[in-house]
Order: sequence, then C-alpha cells, then structure tokens
Amino acid sequence: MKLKSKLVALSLLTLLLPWSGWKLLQELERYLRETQETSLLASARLVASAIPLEFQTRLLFAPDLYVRLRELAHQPSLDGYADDWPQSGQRLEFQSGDGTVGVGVLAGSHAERLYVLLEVSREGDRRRSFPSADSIADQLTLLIRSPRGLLRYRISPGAPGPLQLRSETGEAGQGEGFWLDTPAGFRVELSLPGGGEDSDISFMVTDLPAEWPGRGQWVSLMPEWRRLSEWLTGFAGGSSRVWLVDREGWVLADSGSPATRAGSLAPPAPQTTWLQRLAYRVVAGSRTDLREEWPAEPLRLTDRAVAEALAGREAISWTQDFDTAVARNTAGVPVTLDGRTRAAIVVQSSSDGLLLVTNRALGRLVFTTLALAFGLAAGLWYFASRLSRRVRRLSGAVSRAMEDRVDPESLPLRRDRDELGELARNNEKLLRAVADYSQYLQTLAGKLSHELQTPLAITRSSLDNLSSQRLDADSRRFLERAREGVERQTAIVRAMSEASRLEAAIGAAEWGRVDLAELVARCFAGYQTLRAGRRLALESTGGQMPLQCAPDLLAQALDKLVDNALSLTGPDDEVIVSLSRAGGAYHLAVRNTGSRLPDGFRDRLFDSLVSMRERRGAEPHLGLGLYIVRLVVAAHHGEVSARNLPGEAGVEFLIRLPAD
Amino acid sequence: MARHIAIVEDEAAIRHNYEDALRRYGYQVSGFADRDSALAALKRRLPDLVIIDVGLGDEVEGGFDLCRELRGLSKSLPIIFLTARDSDLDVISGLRLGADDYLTKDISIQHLVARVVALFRRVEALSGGGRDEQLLERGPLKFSVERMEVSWNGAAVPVTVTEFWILHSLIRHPGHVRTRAQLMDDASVLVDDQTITSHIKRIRRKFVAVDPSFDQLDTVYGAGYRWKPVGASEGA
Repeated sequence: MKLKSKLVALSLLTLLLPWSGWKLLQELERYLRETQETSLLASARLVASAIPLEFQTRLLFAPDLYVRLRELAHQPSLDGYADDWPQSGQRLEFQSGDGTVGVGVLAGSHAERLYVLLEVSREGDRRRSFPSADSIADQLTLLIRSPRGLLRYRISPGAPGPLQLRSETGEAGQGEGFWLDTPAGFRVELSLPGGGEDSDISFMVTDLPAEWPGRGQWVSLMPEWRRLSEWLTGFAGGSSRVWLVDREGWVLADSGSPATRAGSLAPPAPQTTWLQRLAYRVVAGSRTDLREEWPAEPLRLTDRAVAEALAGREAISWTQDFDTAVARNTAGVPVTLDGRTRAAIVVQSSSDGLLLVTNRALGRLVFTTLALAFGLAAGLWYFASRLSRRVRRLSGAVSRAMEDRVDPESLPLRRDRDELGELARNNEKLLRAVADYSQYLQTLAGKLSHELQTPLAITRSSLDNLSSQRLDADSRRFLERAREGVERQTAIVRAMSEASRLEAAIGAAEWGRVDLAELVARCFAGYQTLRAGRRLALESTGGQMPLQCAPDLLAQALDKLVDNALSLTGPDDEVIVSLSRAGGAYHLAVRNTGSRLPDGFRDRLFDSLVSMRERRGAEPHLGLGLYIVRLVVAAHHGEVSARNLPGEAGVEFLIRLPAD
Repeated sequence: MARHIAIVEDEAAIRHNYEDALRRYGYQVSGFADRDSALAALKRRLPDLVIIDVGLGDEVEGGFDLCRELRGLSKSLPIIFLTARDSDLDVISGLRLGADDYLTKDISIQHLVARVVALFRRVEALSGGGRDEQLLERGPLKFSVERMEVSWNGAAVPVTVTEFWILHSLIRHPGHVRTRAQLMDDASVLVDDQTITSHIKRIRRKFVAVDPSFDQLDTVYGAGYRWKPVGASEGA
C-alpha cells in the first residue's frame, strides 16, 4: 500500500465524525420527543379529568346513533354529488342485516336549512334482478323529528332528476332535492326546512324483498358542542389543539387549530425546504408515520393514538404531513364515565419547533462535520501526495545517481529542513563517497600502470643490455625467465591502462551516421576470417538500420563481446551475433552456448576490474573487456545486460541502442 | 666519425641503460637529467639526434618545452620523444612539435635502436641522396622507402618514422586488410589496438591536411585497416 493510499484511508476515519453526530442528533431528537410526549399526555389527562359535569352528563346520555351535523360554509348545490360537501368521506354508514343494502348519510346545516345526502347502494342491479317490479320502484321515506314537530317525506321519483318535496304531515315542510342513479344504487341530496338543531332523522328504504332499516330507528343530528369547544380552547396551548371525540372517533368538540384561534400567538407555519424535510426523515423517519395532510377541521379522527384511547389506553403517535412536512404529535386519553370509555380527549401538537430545531442542528452538524472531514481529508491527501511525490522524486534521483557512479547528480530536497531533506543530504553524502570510491578505483588502474611503466622500462632496458653481454648458458636461461616475467608484467600494465585510454578515445571518437546492419555485417566478416574454424553465425533481420554513432567504438565493443564468448567456450560451441529492431531501439546480441554466468555477480559484471572467469589462463585477465563495452554503450545512451539463457542454453549479452 | 646522440631522461637507470646500449651500437652518447643542463650543453654543440623524455623531474611536460627550444636552434635536428603515457602522443602530434618519432617506454632496446637507425637513414638520404631509390607509387601517393618520405599529389606529408612503417605496411598490399597485430609487427611498435587506432587516425589527419578529399585509409571493422586503391569502388 502506498503512502498516499494509507493516509487517505486514514482520513476516511474522519467520516465517523458526521456519523457520530447523526447518532447524537437522533438521541437529541428522541429526548425532545419524549419531553413533548410527556407534557402532551399530561395535558390530555388534565383535560380528560376536568371535563365539566354538564358535558359528562351529555356524554353519558348521548344518543346511540347520530350523524354529525356539519356547519356548511357554502350552500351545497343539489345535484346528487357529494363533491361540495366538506370531508364527504366522513359519513355514517348503515348496513342491512344481510349485507345487501348499504346507506351512507351526510347531514349539514346552512342558513337555517337542513341538508341531507343519502347514498344507497345494493348488491346487484335491482332492475335486472326484478324486471317486473317496476310498479314498486325505489322508494325512500324520510322522517324528521324536532321540537317544531314531525315531518314526513316520501320520495319516489319516476325518473332521476330534481325533486319537489312536500311533507305528508305538515304544511311547513317544503323541500327540494335531487335524485341520481348510480351504478350501485342511487343518491339523494335534499334541502329541508329547519337548521337541524336538536333534530333526529329516520329513513326507510323500500325495496324488495325487505324494508330496511326498521321503522322507528332514529338517527340524531349532532352539531358540534360549541360550548365544550370553547372550554377546550382554554386548554390548548400555543401550538396544540384539543378534541373530544366520541366512541366512533367523531369530533364532538374542537379547540380549533392554533392558526385559526382568535388572538393566537401560534407561530406561522415554518418554511421548510425539501432538503430539510429529507433530513428530518433521515433522522426521525423510523418513528414518524408519513400521512396525508390533516384536514383543517377534521370531523372524525382515525389516528392510531385515537383508536388506542377509545379502546381504553393512553397512546401517543407521531405523524408527518407528506407535503408540508409538519410533524404532529398526537396524544389520546380515554374519558371514562360510569365505568365505560365514553369518549377520548385528543391533544395534538404540531411540532414544527422540533422539526426546526432538529433541522437546524442537523444542518449545522452535517455542514460542519462534513466540511471538517473533507477539509481534513483534502489536507491529508495534499500532504500525502506531496510527501509521496517528494519521496518518489528523491528515490528516482537516487537511483539515477546510482547509475552514474562517477558523477552523481545533486539530489533534490537537500535544502529541505525536514527528515526527507536530511535523508537527501545523507544520501548525497553516501553517493559522493561511493562516487569518489568508484572514481578512485577506476583511475587506480591507470595511475598504477603509469607509475609501473618507469620501473618496468628500467628492468626491461637492463635485461636488454644484459642479453647483449657474453653470458653462459645458465645466465642466459635466467635472463630468459626474467624477460618472460617482464613481458607478463608489461601485459598487465597495458591492460590496466586500457580502460583509461578508452575513456580518452571515447571523447575523441569520430561520430557519424552509419548503417548498423552493415557495420555488424562487416565486423562479422572480420571475425570469420580471423576465427576460421570456430562456429559463428549472424542473425540479422535485414534492412537498413541507420544510427548516429561512433562506429569504431561500437565495433570495438562488439569485438570484446565476441572475444569474450569465443574465449570462454570450446571449439564445438556456437557463437551467434544477432541484430534486430525492437520498438525504438536496436538490439545487438551475442549469444554463445557452453558457458554460464556465475550467480551473484551479475550486477557487477560490467564494472571495472571485475572478472568472473573461473579458468585462469596464461594471459592476465583484469575484467576490463566488459567494462569497455559498458563505457561504449553508455556513450551511445544505450544499455547492456547479460543473462543466462533458459535451460542451460548458454549466455546472452544484449546491447540496446536507442534508434534516433 | 661516430654519430652523437643526446638522451634527456630524468630516470638515471633508464638513461644509463639507453646510453650503454647505444654506445654498444657505436654511437657517441651524452645523457642529461634535466632540461637546463641539457639545453646548456646542446647549445654549445648540437648532437645528431636527441631522445627526450616528456616528463622531466617535476616538469611534467618539460620535454615539450625542451623540444621547442631545440627546434629554435635547429630545424633539421631529429628528435625522438619517449613517453610513459600514450595520451602524450596525441599532445605531441597536436602541438606540431616537429618530433620525428615518439616511442613509449615499454619499447625494447632493439626497437629503440631500430628507430634510431631508421631516422639516421632518413637524414642521410635527405642530405646525400645519390643512391637508387626504392620508390613505391600508389596513384597520387609517392612513397620513398630510402628517404622515408611520403608525398600525396606531389605535396610532402610529414609522417613520423612509426607512421611511415604503418603506412608502408598498408600500401605494400593495397586493398588487403592488415590486422592491428600485423601493423604492430611491421612498424616495430609493441603497443595495443588502441594505439594503432590513434596512429591511423593521425596518419589520416596528416593526409587530409594536404588533401581534404583523402579517403584511402579504410577501417575494416572487426579486422583491421586497408589501403583503398585510388579509383577502386567501395567494398572492392
């Protein structure tokens, strides 16, 4: 793993920061909720226990069956449709005993008139079931009982459409209505005199084979308990709302929403963005039901908490409006009178404040921690990549400097004050020391050979003089031995100075544009003449291989490699010179069978004064040949390498020369 | 009358050995250890030939200075340089010191004497003439073995004795490759490949100085050198 990746991985740990913040926020939100739930429940209990006696009585003696009398803000148009009724879905439903006939009832009052909408549905189409029963068509009988008297209407239209109603029992019962057939039955919308206060209605659907509901079953029209509502308003706090609902969940009294209460100090609905809503759902979504917006004036509460309360248990629920994102906390407490749960007190708080607090805290937390985390990560990344780049630069420079041992380039970073700078300085010191040492080693041979020349000349000239004297046979024999020794010393000295002379020769070499293929071919022809009897082969891909080079030097390098190969192998071994083009370089290789490079020395093979020959011949071998090859190839900006061919097949020396 | 040879060499043992050897061959020899004494004595009486070591005592290139001073005294005085370093040869050539030959110290005494003899023969031939000349001609090249003179298109090419013998070896068999070893033998120089290479280079330079279009000395890579006959096509 690279340094940079390590540091970046480390910086990823900072992402734990927002995570822990999120956890903290959830805790905070839960705590706020619990506080609110407690206080909400407490106030609901308080309200439930403080219901005035008058209303307790009313609850005790409430009729069994009633329909909520809506206060209609507008006069509904008599057209048989319930669209213009508020919350038309909240209606009283009856079902016949056998379940074949159902009736839905809506009642409302507007401008001293009573509006009733009855929807009758049956299983199956009556007309198809009883095609011969036309004479006894649908018939609806409606009775209204009030302190003003009893009104009775018989509604039996010949055809769907507007109706004129006349009470059968009194004169003051003029009414009108609309009959509409529906796929499942029919709907009747009626406008009748009297506001419906303190009234009961009864209706009867005449149908074959049965009449239903039974005659004499009365349904009370129950208006809102206005006084109780006013009383409840006293308990409703700044952002909460209190209802009293009956056993079916119908609202009997309503403190009104905080926004509509006169003189209310409720804050305006908060403007939340989708992002904030999303954020809240992320934090508290698991504990909050998402539901349609609450109606401003609900007629019937179906909340989970309400259902629980009507079943006799205190309960709390949380909901959030889908569109407005307002979170509502609803607490239900049963009202128990005479040993039975008669009603429930429902307190609801729109916890916009909570949402806001949560949102704001979350926003800040998220922003701060994310900014911090990213800042930290970016900082670390920058630091890491800079560090890694510096290390790479240094390491690259060191390895480059290692290649040129004689004069290493100066290293980067050596002026830096940190540990890397120190490393660079130490490296440079080391490289200089190595370079000095290499330089010393390389010039040592030249210097030594120069210094040895004079004593050698003395010895040789003395021996020459001696040989011209009259000598006996013994002296002559000793003289010859001495001469032989001098010759060997001379050969050694010459070999030692060869490398240094070659360096001078490289500087003075003539460069020109030469066809490498032809040069190698000519050299090879030379080897064939000089080394007749040895197995030599040339492999060339053919074609021109132009190269800007010093042909003398290249030829000399090739000489050395071929010489090397020939001298290390026997007469049966083959030496192959091959030349090919690979990419942007020429590959000049000398392969031979029958020898093997010793392991371990391979890197130093081309160094000065390194000889790996196991056999010791009569000729001194100083290991300068391959060093000369290296010098020549380096002068051509090429590379030379040596390797054992796979499977004991021999040795290959490869010179790579970059083509122009 | 015996010819007079002066040897300027700071290393006493070598100097004495050379003196003894040359005396044995019948020359009159005087040896000097440093530049000043040599110059003082030689001013009084010029010898017939001077052998100078390039490095004289502390003066690393004292021999060069002495050579210049002697050339000031006489244009025709034959001078042989002795050197321990091959690189000095290029300096001698580059400075155009007018040396007639240069030898490395690892030369044997026999070789040294052969050079001296050759030089005297050249001097004799130049002054006396008279005798039948063995003249080799290779196109524009005229090669006088007796006088050790070389001319190209009629212009003299100032070659040293060593260079003369190398050239001689090459032109005896025009078009044939002479290996470096053969050249060494023919020129009586016991040196290595590298020295032959630089000798060839110097010869080429001297010809090019006379005729910039000179291209007769051909390198045969991997083998040696050959004299390309004038007019012969490439690779013939």
